[in-house]
Amino acid sequence: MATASILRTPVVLRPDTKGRVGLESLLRRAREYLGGVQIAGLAAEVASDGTITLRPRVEVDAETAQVLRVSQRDAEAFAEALSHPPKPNAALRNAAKRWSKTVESR
Amino acid sequence: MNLIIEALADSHDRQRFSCGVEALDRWFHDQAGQSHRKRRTTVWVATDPTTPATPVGYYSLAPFHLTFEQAPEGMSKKLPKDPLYVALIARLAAATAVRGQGVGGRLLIDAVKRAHRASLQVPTHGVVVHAKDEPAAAFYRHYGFLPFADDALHLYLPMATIATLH
Repeated sequence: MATASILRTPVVLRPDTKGRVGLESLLRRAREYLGGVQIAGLAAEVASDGTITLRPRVEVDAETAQVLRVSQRDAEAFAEALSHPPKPNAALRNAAKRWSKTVESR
Repeated sequence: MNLIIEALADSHDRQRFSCGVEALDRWFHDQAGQSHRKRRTTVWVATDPTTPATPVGYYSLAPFHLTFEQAPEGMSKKLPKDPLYVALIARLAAATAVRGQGVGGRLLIDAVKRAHRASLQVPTHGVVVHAKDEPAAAFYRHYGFLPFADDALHLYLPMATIATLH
């Protein structure tokens, strides 16, 4: 299985008034990953206020993964790119020219 | 070097293909045929017209979607419709033997143009690539693909950008 490991958006667990942390948000995150994507490991950081930040290491199988969960800031950048699409850069334009002249695409 | 790029067929001798990345070679040797037949991905093969049985590169396309995390304090107005459908370039590889001849760049153009043509019939909003490592991600950035800040091994190009490519 071809996999790539990716450090994804961290899960932050904040303690309640009794100093306990629940794992609901982590479990919810785990369920949200669909076929071909799984959490392969977790790196934990504990802050002095008891907040625990878990950074999931995600393995993606390029063959069967059908979804990517996108963080809010990336979603906003994506929306911005869709509404104001960048012009193709020089490398892409040059490759397209070469493609038109030299490739028979069937 | 001219290229033919066409759907994977039995006439392609896949077994001798080598791009220097074992996972990409092995997948092409052992799994590409079944993946294409079962329509998990579609596999597209580049050959030199003078040696049409010898693949010098390939890419595979798959359906894909993005789903968006929401901030606990409420959704930003800028968040796009969830889920958002895109085409995925799952794999792309050029043979070691043709390195430096622009095969990778032309495979990429062929992939995004094919995805764009498909999007005119079944709409998708962009092309996402799954880069296997940082050098692969750098290849896509060179061609203007935008990396996700929180997931730098996935990059994208809006379909509207591809539409202006002639």
